Amino acid sequence: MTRTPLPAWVLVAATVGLTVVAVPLLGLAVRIPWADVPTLLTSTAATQALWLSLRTCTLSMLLATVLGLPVAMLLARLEGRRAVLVRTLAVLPMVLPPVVAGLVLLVTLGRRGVVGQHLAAAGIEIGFTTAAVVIAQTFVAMPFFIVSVEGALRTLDPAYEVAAATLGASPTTVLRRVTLPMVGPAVLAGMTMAFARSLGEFGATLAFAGSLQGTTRTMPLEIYLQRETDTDSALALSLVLIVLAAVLMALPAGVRALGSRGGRVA
Amino acid sequence: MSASSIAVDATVTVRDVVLDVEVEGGHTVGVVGPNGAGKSTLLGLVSGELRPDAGTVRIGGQEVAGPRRVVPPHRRSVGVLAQRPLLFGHLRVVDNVAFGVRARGVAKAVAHQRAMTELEAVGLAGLAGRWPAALSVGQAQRVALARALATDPAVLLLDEPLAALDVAAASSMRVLLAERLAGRTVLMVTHDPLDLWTLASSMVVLEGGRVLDHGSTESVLARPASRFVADLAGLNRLAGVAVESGSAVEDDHAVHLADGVEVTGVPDEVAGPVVGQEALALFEPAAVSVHLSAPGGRPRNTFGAEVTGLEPRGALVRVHAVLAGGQRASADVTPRSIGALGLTVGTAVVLAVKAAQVRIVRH
Amino acid sequence: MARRWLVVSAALLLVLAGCSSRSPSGHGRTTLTVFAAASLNTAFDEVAVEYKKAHPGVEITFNYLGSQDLVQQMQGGAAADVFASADQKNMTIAIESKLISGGPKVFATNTLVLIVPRDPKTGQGNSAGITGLDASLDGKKLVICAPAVPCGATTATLASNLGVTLKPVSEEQKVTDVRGKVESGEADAGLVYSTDAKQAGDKVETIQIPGAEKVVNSYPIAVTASSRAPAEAQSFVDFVASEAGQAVLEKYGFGKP
Repeated sequence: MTRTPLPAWVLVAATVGLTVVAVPLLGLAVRIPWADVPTLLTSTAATQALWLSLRTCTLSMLLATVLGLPVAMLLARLEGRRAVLVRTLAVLPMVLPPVVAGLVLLVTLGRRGVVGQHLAAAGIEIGFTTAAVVIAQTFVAMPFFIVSVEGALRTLDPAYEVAAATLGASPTTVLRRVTLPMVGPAVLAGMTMAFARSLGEFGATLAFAGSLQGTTRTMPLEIYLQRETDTDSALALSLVLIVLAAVLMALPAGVRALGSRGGRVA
Repeated sequence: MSASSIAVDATVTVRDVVLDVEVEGGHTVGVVGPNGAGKSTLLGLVSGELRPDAGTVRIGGQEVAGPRRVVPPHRRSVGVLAQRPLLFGHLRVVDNVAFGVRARGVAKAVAHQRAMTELEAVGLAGLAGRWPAALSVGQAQRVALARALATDPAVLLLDEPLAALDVAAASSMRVLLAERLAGRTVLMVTHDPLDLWTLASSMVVLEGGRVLDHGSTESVLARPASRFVADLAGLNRLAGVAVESGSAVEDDHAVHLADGVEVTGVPDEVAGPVVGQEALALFEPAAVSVHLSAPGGRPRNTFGAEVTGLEPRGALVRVHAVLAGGQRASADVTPRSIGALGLTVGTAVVLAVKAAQVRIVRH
Repeated sequence: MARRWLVVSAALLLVLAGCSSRSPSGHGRTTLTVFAAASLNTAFDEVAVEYKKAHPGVEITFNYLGSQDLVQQMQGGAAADVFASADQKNMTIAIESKLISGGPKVFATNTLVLIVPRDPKTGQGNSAGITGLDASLDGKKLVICAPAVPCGATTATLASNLGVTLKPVSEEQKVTDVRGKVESGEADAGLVYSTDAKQAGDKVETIQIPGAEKVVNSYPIAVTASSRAPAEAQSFVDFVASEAGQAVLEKYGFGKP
């Protein structure tokens, strides 16, 4: 179907909007010492930060998926006040200032925290470990996964699941072979968003996990630190994060385009 | 081929549905009724989507829902073919058909083979490797039939399986269904009398959450228990009290309508009217002629009426009218007569039908 | 429509202009804008109160940030009358950028101390049994400033002076973060400035480090080159160095210059 053309002022406003996003990126591109980028990025601190970020974000993404999927499934079936209650709880970390998230984690899982003191008594201390980074990232990233998948589950036509059940598929089989594949793109998008959010996680990590090269100092923390002494290095690292984020954001759409067979017969 | 009986004797309180329906093994029973009559509830009770609040549901004599236990849908041997094909878009055609077989734990290769057999039976073996999105609606519905039959279900539920198809696809699908449903136990919800005549040996009429009538398709449609069934059978249906005919023709009976009009006709051979009791006068719209004033000639029934609507039907136009007493009747006339008579909504007319073309039945 | 936009834009411009204006505003009052290192926050607030008692015609607004950020803001054109840095390095950068008029004056010093957490319930401190920058730290959770930031540089100098190798579990960006981690009990010990130890109050116990007095962090202050009220700015700088100013600074844990 052809659509009516957009009014000219929308195009103008859209250009302004895109400019707001593009200009700072352009600013970075102009300012960045391109020739030094390879050297800057191969420093031990940089490579360790990148490697740490990739490892922790992968773990956080998987945790957010494993823990978030059941929550999303439950949420998609709830109605009314209970749905509002559970959803508010589930997505709260999404809108929480990162520092608050860090504080919340600290007073819970910290050495003197509600849970943490018992863990500490059992010899488990989370603070200043890579596990703390993963926990902080999962805490802030999981809502993004839940929101993405819950939306897809809610709009999913239940007739397909019913059809699968009448064909003899147990609830688990229905979930595995019908529901999840049908919301597959949303799961993928949710995982990507969780990874991206984890990658950018800064405040909660700083407050809860600390900052030590190779253990807890992820890319954003390294950039923040480099900014103190070596702006060029901070810019080069920023470039890496921007490229990574761009790839992540384009990923779900790219996968969808590749698997374009996936139209559904209604 | 399995062909179990179905016996539903159940209540669903929230929907105010109380049903007692039995289907003999190996038979196809058509289910008709207006919206909200309880057709979906009936299918839901058998498929397991709905639980009865009281009573039981039996498939092949085995209780699948009752006060003691409820067997979940996936453990009942029930195949469903709905109005939409509901093929899984992420599985190829053959994997869609193999889905139910695989879900029962059958090895992939075996399930695949079974799926191919079913696809051949619906004439679509050549499309096995396609994605559902690449099928026409008619093809998709055939695949859905193959998928429903691949698990060799004890009973099959059809919920308006042809409603979404165009005329050509529906007619070839109807032929296929006649072939593939033979010998199976089938409950089929439909709005199309053609489906009833071609596919069902008997039928159940539901209205207001109760069974209004049941029996062979022929008998149910011949003596419509409600206006809905009369419409389905394509008959005009005037209700009243049977009286002795005052007409000269032998064996004639008459139905006395509430507003004093009498309809004279031939008594039904099976269920003739009993004088003094409720009876129906049945006649086809094609037998009705429309006039602006009472026509001469006897024996004829005439009714004063007002046109309520004109509905094109192929080469003819169906004139819907309401009689003085509030009952409805329709007549099929040519577009030319519409013009000649100047018929439009609100026109006062006289409907005429020969007594020989009116059948009087017990109500 | 276009005219309304013009009016709105003009109003916005006026507001923006108002924000940046620091010129002596009517009623014969002068407003001084002081750019001061974040660690001076509470101390300078009190210094200002004292200063105003002697100079009722002068209003003071503060911009507390990291010294490096302050220099960057001034390089970017931010208007300041006085700049108080937490280290010599950033003051030097400011001077090299021609942002400073006259010579800076060191008005306070800060030295490193070791702090250990105190249990909020029992009031008992130092459950890890730390005695100083020594073997008592082995296997314990020590938090310090990252070498890239000023407090971390001081820490590194101190460690090398003492010939010890520190094995921290975290190198924080800010000295307040080090303090926070000790206060909350997450860390067993932390190296902070004596001013931070003072601010932590009862939450920590302070352990003096022999030799720390030799690694002094000096706080220089100066009037900026762009000040529109250099006389008042100078009077503030003088007040900070005066006995009254020094008394306040000492209360907050700063050492004498």
